Amino acid sequence: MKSPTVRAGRILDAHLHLLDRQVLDVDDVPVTTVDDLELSDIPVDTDLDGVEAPVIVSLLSGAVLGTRIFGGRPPSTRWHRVPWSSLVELGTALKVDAAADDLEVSWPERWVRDHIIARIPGGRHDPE
Amino acid sequence: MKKLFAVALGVLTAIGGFVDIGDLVTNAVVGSRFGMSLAWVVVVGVVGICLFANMSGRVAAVSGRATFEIIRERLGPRAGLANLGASFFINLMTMAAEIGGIALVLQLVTGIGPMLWMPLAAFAVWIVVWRAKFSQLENAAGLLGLSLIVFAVAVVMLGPDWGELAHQAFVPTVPASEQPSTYWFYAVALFGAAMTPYEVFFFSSGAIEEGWTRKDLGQERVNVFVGFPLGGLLSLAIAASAAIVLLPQAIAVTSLSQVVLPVVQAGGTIAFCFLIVGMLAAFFGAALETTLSSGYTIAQYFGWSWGKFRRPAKAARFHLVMIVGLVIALGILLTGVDPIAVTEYSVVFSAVALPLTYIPILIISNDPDYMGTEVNGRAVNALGLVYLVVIVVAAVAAIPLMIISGAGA
Amino acid sequence: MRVQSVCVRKIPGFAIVLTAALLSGCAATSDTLRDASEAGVSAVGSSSLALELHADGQALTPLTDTVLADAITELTDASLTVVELTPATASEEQQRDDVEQALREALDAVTGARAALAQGGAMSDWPAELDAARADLEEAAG
Repeated sequence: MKSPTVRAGRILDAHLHLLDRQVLDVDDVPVTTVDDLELSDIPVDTDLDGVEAPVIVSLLSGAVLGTRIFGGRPPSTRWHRVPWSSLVELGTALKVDAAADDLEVSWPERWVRDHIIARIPGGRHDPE
Repeated sequence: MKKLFAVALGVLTAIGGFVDIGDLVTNAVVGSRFGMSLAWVVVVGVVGICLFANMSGRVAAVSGRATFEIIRERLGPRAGLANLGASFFINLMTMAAEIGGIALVLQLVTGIGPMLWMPLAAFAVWIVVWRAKFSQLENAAGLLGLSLIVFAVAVVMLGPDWGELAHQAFVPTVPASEQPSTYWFYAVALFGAAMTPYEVFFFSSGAIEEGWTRKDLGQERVNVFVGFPLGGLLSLAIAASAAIVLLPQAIAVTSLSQVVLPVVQAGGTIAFCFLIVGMLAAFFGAALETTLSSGYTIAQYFGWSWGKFRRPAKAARFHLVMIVGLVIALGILLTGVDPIAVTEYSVVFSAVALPLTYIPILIISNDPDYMGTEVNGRAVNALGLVYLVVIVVAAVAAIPLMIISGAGA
Repeated sequence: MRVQSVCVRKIPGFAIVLTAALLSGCAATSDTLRDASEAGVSAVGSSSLALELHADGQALTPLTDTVLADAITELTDASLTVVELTPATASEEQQRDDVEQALREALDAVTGARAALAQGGAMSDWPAELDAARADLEEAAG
């Protein structure tokens, strides 16, 4: 008998379709690439009968890219997350329902913008 | 009528934008030392860039995604990072070469320089990248770059022995004063100069900047298949001018001032003025393209917001990367290194990096996930595979040839 | 689809090939002398051509000056490579001295021509000096 959490729908390969994909915000502005995925925990060293399969909790970005390529793992308090629940569309790029500025992951962009780019004359204007 | 104008503009900017300092210097050096016996490499290179620029433009127009975004998605972060590192490094070298070229041209006009002009040139490049609209900068640089046609005019005015030139081109032989290893080294360098990797990144990102869709593919094909070959003819004219004037006098080109002499001999001060305008436009345009490419590649790998169509505040890290890139390129130049030497190394390293750029394009343009029904046809794939072999051979042979021939000494 | 890198394993072999190539690329004295005199001929040739074009009113003064300045740099670099040589035989030493002498002659001619150009004065004998230097360079190359 199927577990109640299994629903009908698309089958995806997390590696192929989720990792390294572009994340776009509600206005199609690029936010980040998916550097890694956060999965929900399952208990170790115990029987898995009746335990639900791990689900994706959030998309990760930032330092996790370096650790994904070279090994290691930054502490989970340092992860920059895009919650899975905010995802609205999943094609060749992933679309989320928030504006880029409202997402936690976009803090480097906001920092550079506020401290460097906005200080240079013409930074806030459209190209003429 | 308006459509015709748009088509003409596209073709003309493609011609004018084809030649950069790598093409100019390498073709002049080759013409002055080998005559037209390396002309076949230009032809091979032009066919190659037409093939791959068309592929990358099509990928961008159909999938709406730029090349580097897709490289990471399809080949993984490790391969993407290696690709990014190599591409960014070579891009930086090319940026330094182009900015150095601008400074050298200003030296030809004023007799002052060139170190004085380098910061000015770098600043000018930045200010245009910061403020000007994408299409404006492309069109202006491309149209003014057409002035380089003065090379073709000069060749005709010099009244050469066409039979002799044709013989050198169609029956290539290594001149007695040169070694075979030097000949093949320059073949690889010329190939790298014609098939500049940054062109592909720039072309595909530019397609997104200008909002190309399937409808624009026709225009894009005309730009590439008419514009680039005519640009290739211009490269051959540069080599021919050096072959006609400099080769008989055993003058081997080592500086930009020598490249100019054949045109001056043919058409005097007026030709010189056209040449200056053309070179400034070509080098400035290429400096803009390489600067933007450095921004595109890094921003697209990390998924940052990018594009000239966005105001800088909306693509902050993209602009920061370009500012840092320009500062580093300027730093390289201010160490006093000869910009011509930087140019020659940049074209050789471009040849080494070619597989990194072109293998992904070939793979992605065959992927129905991105291309839908517009995947490569069999003829394109066959030609693409042939070129892949040529590119890998050139890339592998580049460094050994450089060492054996002493970098073409 | 992943592209695996196997470069790391190939490095030792590559290093051997590289070293061999580098060693075989070390130039013999006669090669260096030939390269230096060819560079000298080229530099003198461009200077002569530029001065000719300037005299005809084809080339402007800043351009001519830049050509001469670039020629001076090339001649100086060529002289440096020649001076650093340590010839093994007496005939090589003689040849090196000839090339060094010819390069110095060429350098004097180009520098003199550049000074005359800057003073806006007549070129007087400088073109002829350049031709003589060029002939000497070609002869010294052997």
